[in-house]
Amino acid sequence: MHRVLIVEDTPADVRQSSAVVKKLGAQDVIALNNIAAAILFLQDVLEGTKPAPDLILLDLSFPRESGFEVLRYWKSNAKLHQIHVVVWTVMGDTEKKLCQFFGVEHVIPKWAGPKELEAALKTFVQDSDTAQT
Amino acid sequence: MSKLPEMINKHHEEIRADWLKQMSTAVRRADLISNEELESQSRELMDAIASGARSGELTNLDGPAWGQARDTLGAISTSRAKQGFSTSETATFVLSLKQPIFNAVRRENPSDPAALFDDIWKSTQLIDKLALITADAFQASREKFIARQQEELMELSTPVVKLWDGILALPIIGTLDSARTQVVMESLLQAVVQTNSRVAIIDITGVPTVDTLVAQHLLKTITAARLMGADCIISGVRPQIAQTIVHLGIDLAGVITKAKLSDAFALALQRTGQVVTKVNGDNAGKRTLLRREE
Amino acid sequence: MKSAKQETVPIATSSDVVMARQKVRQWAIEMKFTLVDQTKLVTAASELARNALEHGKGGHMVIEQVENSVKNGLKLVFEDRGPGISDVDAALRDGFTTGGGMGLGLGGSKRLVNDFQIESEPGKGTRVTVVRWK
Repeated sequence: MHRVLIVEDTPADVRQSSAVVKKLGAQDVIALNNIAAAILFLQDVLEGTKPAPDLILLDLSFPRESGFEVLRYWKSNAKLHQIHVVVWTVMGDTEKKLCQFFGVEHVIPKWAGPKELEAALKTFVQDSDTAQT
Repeated sequence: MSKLPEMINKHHEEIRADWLKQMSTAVRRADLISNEELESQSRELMDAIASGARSGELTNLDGPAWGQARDTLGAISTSRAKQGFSTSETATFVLSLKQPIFNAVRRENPSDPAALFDDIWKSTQLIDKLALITADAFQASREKFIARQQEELMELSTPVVKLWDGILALPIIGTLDSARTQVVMESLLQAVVQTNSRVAIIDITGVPTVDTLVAQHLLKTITAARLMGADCIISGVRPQIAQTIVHLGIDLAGVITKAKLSDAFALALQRTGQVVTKVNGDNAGKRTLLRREE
Repeated sequence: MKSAKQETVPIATSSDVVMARQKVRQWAIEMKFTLVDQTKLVTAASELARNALEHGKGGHMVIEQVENSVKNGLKLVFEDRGPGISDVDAALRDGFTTGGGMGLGLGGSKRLVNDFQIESEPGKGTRVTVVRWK
């Protein structure tokens, strides 16, 4: 887990989550606070003008368009869909189910706190590291 | 006082043996039912009749004494309806008890013609009543069975179809309040994800009743679709359904409804930035062309 | 044999609710109710039958053709053996629910018929009687 893209509009949550991923070894953390910027970023990744992140940490609730727009874009392209996505958001069962439909493997509720995020990311980091070796 | 109740109770084992023997020689649907099942059904029924007869009541079978017999006949009818027996075949199973009972009655009254006649009359009435209960129960369970089959068939036959780029339709036919409904609704949401659609049309032309449970299923689906940026349009809302929804107090404000699927489709095209244009062909007359508005 | 004036339908499973609706529709058609009235009757029956099943542990529905001096009507009686309703007024209020429903079933059905009567005794069950006149 080298490069991480955080899509999050709550400053406190950006601070918390980037601290967590850095602690787990991320060197390059990009934080974007709106959906349009996130989609533009992914477009650049597709065009090869920006290197692909190893992980996208995505919040779903935004004032206008929701984080699902990022998931739509991510799912619409096979290359993008290879990037791991972790959804970290305030949510109910419906959101969780929809995330599963998109093929998101890790859905972590914010109310569980940053510890829970760290625990989930930790197993995920180990998984992806073993997968690479 | 008739000795019939006492006789049935005392000799029910012999009657049953006689009955089984009769059934083995008569035409029997061996393709539909096994000997073991027939054996156990006849035992259950005979025991229930014997227990009913112990009450001494043979004309009115509505009371608690005959409850066991009614339940047994109900269970037999249900299983036979599922196995594919006809009404008359099922009733015949019960009616074929007459002969063995008559035989027993004759053995009991060797020298009293009046008593013999009386007991035969009473037992024939009893068996007729039991056969009637069976036929009614059989009809009811078959209706239920057929209704359920239709229901299942109907909800199964509603796949999500892609109408156009970004537009899905889910035509629903049949009841919308069974456990399957949630599966159907989820398949729509899943299809929205798979096809990256922006509009989903739920057509309820084929749904006979929209009550609060149906409305709840629809509203939940609409909310979930909206969460991921897809609008739902409900089409096929007939005037009588619309009126009923209002009376029920269901708030459909914010839900787009259309009377016809075609209206919903036109709106969906508009929403997704596509237009329908009529073009005049040189020789083919008018046809409709859909084009994407960039 | 089904009587022309009255029929009883058991309500023990969810397919019985479907059956109850079908029966009410059949009767409403035979009595030549308008399409709107048929729909209202069937919908009310659907709500009340499901209530009897889900809150009342099942029971039955009696369909009956009734008449007063001026008109014909269809009367439906739903009886269950459930825990009963302790506060009937509250249960009739829109939005009141003990389950996961919308809480519009009872109040909504009341608006779909002309006469609506509910009798309930805690611990014994509930009987809802509705009539729609032609």
